[in-house]
Amino acid sequence: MTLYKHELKMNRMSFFIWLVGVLSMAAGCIFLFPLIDESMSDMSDAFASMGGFSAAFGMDKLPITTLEGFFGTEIGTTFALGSGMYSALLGISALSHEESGHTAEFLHTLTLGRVGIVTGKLLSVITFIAFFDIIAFGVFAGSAAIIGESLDMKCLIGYVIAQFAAQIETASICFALSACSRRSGTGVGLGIALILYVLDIVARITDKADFLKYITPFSYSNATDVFVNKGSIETVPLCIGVCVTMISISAAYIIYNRRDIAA
Amino acid sequence: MNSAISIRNLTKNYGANRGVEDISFDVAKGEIFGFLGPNGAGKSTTIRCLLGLIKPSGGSAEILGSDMVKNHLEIMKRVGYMPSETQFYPSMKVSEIIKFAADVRGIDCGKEAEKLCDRLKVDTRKRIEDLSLGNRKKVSIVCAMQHKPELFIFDEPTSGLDPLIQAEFFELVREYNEQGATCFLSSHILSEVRKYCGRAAIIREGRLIACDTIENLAHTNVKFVRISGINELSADGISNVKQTADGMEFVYGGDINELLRALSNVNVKDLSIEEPSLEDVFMRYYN
Repeated sequence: MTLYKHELKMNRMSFFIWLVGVLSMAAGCIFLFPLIDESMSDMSDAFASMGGFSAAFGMDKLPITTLEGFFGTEIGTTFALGSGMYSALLGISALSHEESGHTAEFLHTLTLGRVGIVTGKLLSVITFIAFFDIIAFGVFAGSAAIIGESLDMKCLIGYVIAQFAAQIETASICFALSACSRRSGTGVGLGIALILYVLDIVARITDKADFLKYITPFSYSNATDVFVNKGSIETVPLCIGVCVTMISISAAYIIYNRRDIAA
Repeated sequence: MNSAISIRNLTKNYGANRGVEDISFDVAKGEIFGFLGPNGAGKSTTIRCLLGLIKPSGGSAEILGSDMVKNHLEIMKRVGYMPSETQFYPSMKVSEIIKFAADVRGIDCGKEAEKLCDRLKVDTRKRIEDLSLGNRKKVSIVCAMQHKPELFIFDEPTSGLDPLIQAEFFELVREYNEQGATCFLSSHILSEVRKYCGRAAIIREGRLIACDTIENLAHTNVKFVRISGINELSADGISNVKQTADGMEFVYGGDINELLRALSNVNVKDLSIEEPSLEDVFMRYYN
């Protein structure tokens, strides 16, 4: 519990920076919606019929002239990418930064044990992601209310839950890598988030790469899909994602428990 | 022997690189034990194996009667460790680091920490990033001592500390030792080992080459010989020959009668035959 509190304290500043950065963009887009609503009405059909481009951003499924369509195609993408990158950074630095910052010797010679260290850090990662999504939910609903619109609550809750699962999956993959590494791995973390995002785009553009939707968490957490499906999340990719999360977390425990800790 | 530390055939390989090989020794409860060796000899590797930071390739280690691997957490509650290169979280204040170390152990160390900070002149309001190496080491001493452990493990504790704080540090070690604590002191500074330790082990290139009382380590059949009037002498057992302004000096490890016979055949102006200092012994092991 002491390490958990310590981790929350140590990482709170980066949490607030990412939270403000990502959510101000999302809220800004919602506030812009009334201004671009009318100008986009004529272009709605054009946006929906741009082939692969429309499919990549879900504009073939939801009209961009409604707030839900605009949210699914524009805001959902911005939020998914931003929160995905933040989750990856949280995971990749959780364990390895002790060795890269040369604080591992201090931490490991207290009475925490390796299992205790992994658990404390994992719980703090999950907590930050949970708070990120809860606050995001409030900002989405609040911003929509401010401009006199409303988002379907069932869809929004489904989307935030899907995002939470996807962020935890991304963070856990990076967390497992963090357990193997002695370097901070910031570039690797951001790279993983971007690769997973690109895999989702590719899976949406071409049917031949449809299998990729079972690999990347961005597929089952896609805002357009969740809003089209009235808040329900595609089961198979989600279950695969949960399995990947469990395997990654288990791997982190096993690897970190066995390997030598650098000074 | 009632051991605080018992190491048996400890080996650690880093792939093709040498770590430590087949190290065995015991540290008795209540003693101050020196662990001598130059930089890179394997002192820190041995300590890091002891503390479970790295996994040994072979052998075993017991601390305070328990297997270090199986009972790691229980053992660490009774151990205070100070690493050679101390680093903490840069953005935290000294007081926060000291409290964090105590909170993790689940005990209130407030009074002891306050006493230690006062004696070592630690400014608890400063941030870690604003501290010099010496001041970070002082914080590390507080973190290692505040919970009054049964066993201290210090890895080159005095490097970076000014002489006054070094003296205060050893005074604290002496006080805790009088209360029953054991101290394992890794160092390459011979004078502090000679002054404060009862026994010592010497490690060279990953292998233990001597382990005995300081008295026995210094009192060997080796003699330190200084001669004026001659520049060379032939006898079995002469080593480490150095030329001086008016003669020569060397370490003699052979039969003393053989040396006297050799000296009787040359014209000696002056002669001294002394017990070697611990420094001489140390150098002999390393040459």
